[in-house]
Order: sequence, then C-alpha cells, then structure tokens
Amino acid sequence: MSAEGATSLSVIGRRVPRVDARERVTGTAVYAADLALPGMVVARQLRSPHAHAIICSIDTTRARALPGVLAVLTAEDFPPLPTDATVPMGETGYDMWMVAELNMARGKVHWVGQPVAAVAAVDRETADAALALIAVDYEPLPSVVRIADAMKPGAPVLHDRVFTKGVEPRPQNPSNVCSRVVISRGETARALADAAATATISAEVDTAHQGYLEPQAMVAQVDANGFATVWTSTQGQFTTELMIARMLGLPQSKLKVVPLEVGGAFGGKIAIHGEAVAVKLAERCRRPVKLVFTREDVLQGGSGPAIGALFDITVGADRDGKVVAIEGTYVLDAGGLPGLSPSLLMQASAALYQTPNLKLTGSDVVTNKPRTEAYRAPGGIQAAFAFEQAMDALCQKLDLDPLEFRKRNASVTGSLMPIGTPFPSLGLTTILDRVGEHPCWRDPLSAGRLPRGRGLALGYWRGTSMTSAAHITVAGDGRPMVTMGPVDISGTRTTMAQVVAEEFGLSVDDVHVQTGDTKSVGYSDGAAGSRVARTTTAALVEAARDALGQLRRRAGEKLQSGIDDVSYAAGVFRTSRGGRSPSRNSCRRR
Amino acid sequence: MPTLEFDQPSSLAEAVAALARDGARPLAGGTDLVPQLREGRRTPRLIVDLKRITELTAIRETSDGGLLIGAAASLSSIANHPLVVARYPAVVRAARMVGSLQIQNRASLGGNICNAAPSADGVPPLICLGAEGLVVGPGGERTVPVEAIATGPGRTALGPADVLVAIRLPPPAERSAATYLRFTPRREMDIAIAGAGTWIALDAAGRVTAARIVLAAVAPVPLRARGAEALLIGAVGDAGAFETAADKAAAEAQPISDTRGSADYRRSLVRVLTKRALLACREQILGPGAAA
Amino acid sequence: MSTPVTFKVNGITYRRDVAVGDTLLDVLRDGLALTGTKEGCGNGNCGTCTVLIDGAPVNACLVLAPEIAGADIVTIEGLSDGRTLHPIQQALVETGGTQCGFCTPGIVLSAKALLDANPAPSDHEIRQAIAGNLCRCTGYGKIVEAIAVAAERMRGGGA
Repeated sequence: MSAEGATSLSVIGRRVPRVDARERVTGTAVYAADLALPGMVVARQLRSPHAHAIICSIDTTRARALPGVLAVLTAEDFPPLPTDATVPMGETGYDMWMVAELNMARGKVHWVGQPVAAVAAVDRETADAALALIAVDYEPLPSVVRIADAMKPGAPVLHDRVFTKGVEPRPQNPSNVCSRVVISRGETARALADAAATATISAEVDTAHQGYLEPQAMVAQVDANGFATVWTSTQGQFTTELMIARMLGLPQSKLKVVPLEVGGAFGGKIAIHGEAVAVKLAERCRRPVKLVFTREDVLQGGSGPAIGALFDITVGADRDGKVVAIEGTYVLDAGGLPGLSPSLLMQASAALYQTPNLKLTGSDVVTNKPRTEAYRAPGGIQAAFAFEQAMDALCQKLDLDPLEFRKRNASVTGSLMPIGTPFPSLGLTTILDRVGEHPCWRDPLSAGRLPRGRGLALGYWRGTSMTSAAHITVAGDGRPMVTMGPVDISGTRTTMAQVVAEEFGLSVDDVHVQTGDTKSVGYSDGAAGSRVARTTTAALVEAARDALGQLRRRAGEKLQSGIDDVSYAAGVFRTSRGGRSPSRNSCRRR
Repeated sequence: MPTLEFDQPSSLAEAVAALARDGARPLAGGTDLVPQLREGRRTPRLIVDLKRITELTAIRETSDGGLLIGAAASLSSIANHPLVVARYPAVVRAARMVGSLQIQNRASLGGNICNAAPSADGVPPLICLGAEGLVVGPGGERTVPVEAIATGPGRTALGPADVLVAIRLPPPAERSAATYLRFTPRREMDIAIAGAGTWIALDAAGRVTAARIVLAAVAPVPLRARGAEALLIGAVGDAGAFETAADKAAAEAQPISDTRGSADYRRSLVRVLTKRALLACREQILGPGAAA
Repeated sequence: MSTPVTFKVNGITYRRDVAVGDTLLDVLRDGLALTGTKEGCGNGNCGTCTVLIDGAPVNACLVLAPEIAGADIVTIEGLSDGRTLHPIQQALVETGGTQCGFCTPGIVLSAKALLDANPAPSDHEIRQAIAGNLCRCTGYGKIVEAIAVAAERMRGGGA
C-alpha cells in the first residue's frame, strides 16, 4: 500500500491461499444438498404448466393417500399476507407478498413453473409420484410474454392489486406497468433540439439466467419445541430468516437459518425459493425435509433470472463534443411479479457523464415469465450496453475518439449525479488517464486472420453499505476466532482472516474465521452490492481493537503496570520495565 | 408405479429376445437415454444393456480392408483406434465433437445414429464414407445403409426388437478423403446449428469422380445434397467447382428457424461449411501445397 | 426393481442392491454418502458429477446404477487422504483456481485423467480436457494455470 502515513502491512496485500480452498479441492466443503439428517425425507414442488391461469381448485386427496407421502401443502397452508407486507432489507425493505407468491402461488399462476403445491415423501420416486396425483383445476388465461405486448391497451392484466406507482393522479385501474420513475433536470427536449449532434440507440436485451452451478438446496428441521432450523444455500441467512418468519407467521425466536457453502449465486439467491415451504413440510411431518431443485426447476420457473429490457437512449452534444442532454427510456421486464425498480440502473447508466439536461424515464412491467431477480449490478450491465452504444454513436457523428470524448465529459468529484447529489469523490478521470496510457489502448492492432477492432465502454454501479456484524472471541491460547455475519460468496472469509491477523500481528493460520448462523452472530444483511469486504472489515477492525484494548487492560493488571505502559506486538504484551506476558495465555485467564 | 427392469445379455440372441419384450429399450452409452428417462420423455419397462456383447463393442478390420465398428463402442475408443485414426479421420473428427470428453467416453455411434437427431454429428461422415449398419432382429440379419436408418427426428426404420450391431465401413477408396465441419456458438459442448460432411474422390487430373455431401441440422434427417454432388462429378475439383456445389447444397437444405438459428442463417452456414469441407478434402488428397 | 452389484470406489469394494432407475451419482451421494461428487444439471451438460470409471472421466449422472457392476470408480474423495493433497489439488489452492468450489471436484478428476495419460499437455490440450466441466466463477484461467503447474511438478520439475 502506498498511502501516505500508512504503516507497512505484513498480511494484507500479500497473496494468501483462500482459507477454505482445501475443502473445495477435496470435495469436503458442505453444500446444502450434501446434508443428510437421520429420518430425513425428500420434498418436491409441483409447478404450473400454464403461463397465466386461475387456480380453480387443488385436490390433494390422492397424493396424501399414496403410501410414503408424509405431507402435502398448498397456499391454504400458509397465512395470506397483506399486499403491503414487507421485511426489512438494508435501509429499505423487500416486498413479502411477492416473496410468498414466489414460493407458493395463491389463487393464480403467473408463469410456467410457479410452485402451486409441495410434497414430502420417503424418497424422490414417491415424491414425484405424489406430484402426479395432485389434481389442479386451472382456468387458463391469455398470457403476455413480451414487454410491448404487456403494455398494450387491452392486454391481460396480471395482478389486480398492482397500480402503476409514481403516476399522478393515482390510476383507477390495475396495470402491468408497476411503476414509473422519472429522473430529470433542465430542459432536455429543447437541448436535444438545439444540439449540434445527437445519436439514438434502441436496444432490446433478453433475460438471462445467472447460471450458478449449484441449484437451490435446503434442509429444514423442526424440533420438539417447535424450533425450526434451516440449512440452505443463500446470500443472506438473516434475510432468509425474516422471509420465512413473515411467510409462516413464525416468531423469530423459533427459527434459525444456517448458511452453508454457496455454489454460485450472483444475485439469484437473495430471496427465498422454497425455504418456508420446507419448514412447513418439516413441521407437518415431524421429520427433517430436504428440498433440492433440479436444473429444470432452476431454469423452468423455480428461480429468478436477470431482467430483460427495452432501452431507448438519445444523447446530444455541442460542437465541441460536450454532452448537452441525455434522454433515456428504460422499460424493464419484471417477469411474473413486480420487482426491480428502474431507478438505480437508470442512474448508473448516466452517472458518469456531466450534463446540464437529463430526462430518464423508467418502468418495470410484469410479463408471464419467471419473476426476475438480480444478476451482478442488477440491470446495470443491460443499461450500460444500450447507453454506451449511444455514446459511441455520438462519437462517430462528431468524429471524436471515444476515450477523448469520455474524458471531455467525465463526471468528477462534485459533479451532480442524476438525482442531484454531488459525487463526494470520484476517480473516473484518473481511470481514463490510465486507460489512455495502457498498451491495451495504445498498442497498434496487429493484422490477424480476422479484422480487429478496439472499443471502450464505461460501467458504473453504486455498492451498498447496509449492515454487517462480526465478533471476535479470543481463544484460550490467545488466537482470535472470528464469527462474521455476511455469507462468504467471494472469498471474504479469507479477507477477514487477513484483516484480523494484521490487527493482531499474527499470521493468517492463527485466525479462525467462520460464518455465523442467525442465532450466533449479529444481524447482517446479505452478501450483495459489493458491500461485504468493506463493511465487515470495518466492523472487524473495530472489534479487533476492542478485543486488544480489553486484553491490554488485563495485561496491565497482571503485569502491575499502568495501561499506558503496556504495548502489544505479535501476540505479546510488554511493559517498558521489561515485564511481558509469558504467553498470550496468561492474559486470557482470569 | 411401473417398475423398471434391467437386463445385461451376453449374446446377440439374448439381446434380441430381451428387446422383443414389451416396453424394452436398448442401452449403449446412455447419454441420450438417461436424460430421456429422467425427463419422462421415454418410459421403458426394461432396459437392455448391450455393452457385454462382443460384437457390439469390438472394432476390427474386415477381410476386404474395411472396418467393422461395434455400435455400442464408445466414441473415445473409436477415436483412439489406430485403424480409425489412419483410415477414417473424418470419423475421428466427428467423434471428438460430440458433447464433451465425458460424453465421448460413454456415447456410441449406434446411439448417435439411432437417437436420430437431425444434428447428429456422427452420422454425416458415416454416410459420406458409404457406411452400412448390420442389424439383427427377430427376422434375422440384414444390412441397412446408415443413410436409411433415420426416418425423422427421433425415429428410425428399425423395429422395436432390432439391434444395430455394428457399422461397416468400406475400405478407403484411392485418392479420396472425407471430412465433417459444423458450426456451434461455443467451441465445445454444443449442438450443431448446421453441419456439412463431404467425401470426394479425384482422378489423376484432379477431376471429381465420386462425391457425397451430407448436411446436418438442416432437415428432419441428415440430408444428402444429391444435386450438389451431381454438379461435382466430372468437374475439376477446384474452389470454383466447390463454390458452385456449396451454393447448390445450400439451396437443397431444408432448414427451420428455431432458438438456435434462423433458416437463412443455417442456409448461409451450409454454403460456407460445404465449400470449406470440400477444400479440406481436396487438400487431404493432393497435399497442402496443391494450388487451389 | 433393484439389482445387486459389486463395484469398487476409491479402492474399496462394495456390494449393494441398487435401484435400476438410479444413476451412479445417486449411488455415490445417497448410497455411499460420498457427497464430493456434485449434481449441477443431471443430464451431462455441466460436468460437476465427473468421476473416473476405469480411468476415464464420465458424467456419473448418465451412468445407470446397474451398469457399474465390476467398475473401478475413482471420486474426488479418492485423491487425497485429507492431509496430503494431490498435486492438482495443491496447485488449485495456490493459484486460486477455486472460488465457489462447486465445479472443483469434477475439474480435478478431468485434470487427473489428462495428466495420467499425457504428462506434458499443451495449454490447448488442458483446455480441451476440461471442456466438459463448466465453471461459472473463475473464468478458467487459474484452473488451466494450476493444471500446468501440477503437470510440471508431477514430471519432477517446477516450483
């Protein structure tokens, strides 16, 4: 690290193997599908074959009667949630009515693959046979699959409780357009009309699945006290617990979620997909229940792929290539339930350009497809795809080098973000300068068998902070044991081991790091939004200094010295008079 | 619940008898059958594993210098066999295209032929080389040209109790070569959007004396582009003649538009792949230095 | 219907009654509690279930249980005693060629089969050998690097 005044670091900045690499290469890392509990039974979900239909009735009699079937559930077994039910997530919340529908359709189905029932049986074969015996009477409805079709007047309306938010006066009729967001400043239409050059790009981006290799998997168990434990593949055990509790009406004192290794998630394992159902099944049949998705479950309606969208971006510049106006329409495909607000991705697409005039209009629209979820910077990449091409088209019109154009228009510290807040600190111009010096940009393109070209595009996303908790327990031999709240989906256990080792002046091998479950560590939001390393290291630096402070006080007592006279380095406390803790041990014991 | 039974006959006669039973299905590598079972697309009552029968896994030279390839022999064993490598490199190429290494270690030519996917990569080279299938069934033994086996997507001319035992390749003709090219978006682990297998024989003056062009994934079955073949016969085998033939092959193709590609795109691919394949065959015959 | 089969896994001989419709993957994970072999897709597309049968990498999800009679199977559990890692495993640890870890057991076995047959593979040959194993995290670069490092060490050279 080269920051002024920083002491040299001995562990951070070094290349260390992941602390959890060995279990991965030996196949001993435990994923939820690997768990086997005594008496465990198998769960499967029945999924809608229709894209849009009313559920007229569900007859589970024959399924229940099949030998080996221990429980059968439908929406009737879950309390109905009010439309405005939410669970907290970060500084905002997550819509629970929607989460409940994701896990068990009530009254209607909105995409092929939406779960309508669930069974628990002694083995997979019996569970599958039971699914075939559940008789669902559907009344199929006309469906809409494309955004444009869902927005047409007269299109079948998916949800009669969804009225377009953000429109004044409040609409009387339900709509497939869930929300409308406008972010603007200045007079965009006039500025575009007066611009020396404009360019427009219309782009359609298809939905795509995150493609994590590990399908959703979970095991749920309810004990004799009615206390439920859920082991699952999740990006956030606390979010999972909140969602299960809300969906089942369970007190959180009766529920614990244990996050296991995650075989890829990328945004697709934030909402629960089956966990509440597994708990209910376990409660019903008084046996541990394992629910593992097949790849067909994952790709055919059981999980949430990334958004598709329609973009129309127009940008205008003056003769000198300075952007004078940006106008964008962003229409997101939410899938079968309202979801992602367009606001973040709209802002992200335009944030890096200074412009006095801006009008961004966004909507999310429901269609009869699986409800879309996050996939790394949710929607940001899709929007950048369209936006940056509009900028490139403008460069071509102006005959300007794309890097030079970006430099000329780059937002800097103090520039206004689309929503009007000044950037507190932004290093874009530094990045652009470095790009300009990099061989990747400067080196002449050698002729090859095929034509070669070179391009440039900017990307921007705002990470979140939210809440991360972690604690340090100092073991009997003085070694720090770290329990972190956020789930490790990117190697953060190793990061924490390095940070705590650095603070304690020890080696990474001296530090044990584990991820806590919802009853053994402080509340932490999920691993998402590029927030875990930054927030959890901050928490652990505080915790480490707190722990060392406590130990120093005790060292002072033991060594009969004022605390100011006690120094610490690499596991040993010393006084200036030459006293030292014989081992870390003696400072721990009372 | 219907129970599934499993049989492992050790002779052809036992296999034929087993396959005559109601709901019986043959098993070679399982790379098509097992996913079909899992997805409920096939619901057999009896699975007959053919891999313990010598005739079905052996690869051996025939008395006339041709080759007999057991229909259940793994694609890897075929691709590694010295005689296949030396005499039928087009078969090696195709075998190494199917799925992945893991798939090739189990999948078979018999399965590839009898699964009858229009995109089957193993089939065009076999048809190009004049391969015949040796079939044993309740009616006895017979020979069926590989070209006549697939009758539609997933359908064959074989009866339910027939076993495709082996594929017989004639000895390679003088001054001839075959190859197979396909287009896939990914380099591995993908299904052909279009494929072209070609085989030509040239006389001393470089004229085409015989030709077969077989297209994959552009018709309900692997398609012989006979019109294109006819244009080649007697012509000097140069880039111009190959282009003309390739254009004709593209016109003869019957592609559909689906999620993998549009009909137009497939036709365009046929044109490009057929020409390239013919040029590659020519180069194999004349050597790399020969002028195009 | 179930049928008795005798087979070897990681050097140990087992005699089991297996259901005809089960796969080798079911036998390993549910029957023998060897959960190192993973299920990613169940139809031979992802390679997370790769095991070695008689030295050759195959998708365990595509092998029916009765077919394993007499087979000599190696799974990820057979590669190390837990303490000493196989050079491929050690190299993956060092290069960082494992992230979520779900593809790793299958990739280790594909790599082992490669190096057992070809001790000095080219970069292209390494990539071809793992082409049937999908990875959604690493971008493959560090995996290929690890296999090359392992190959060199197994030949008796390298760091």
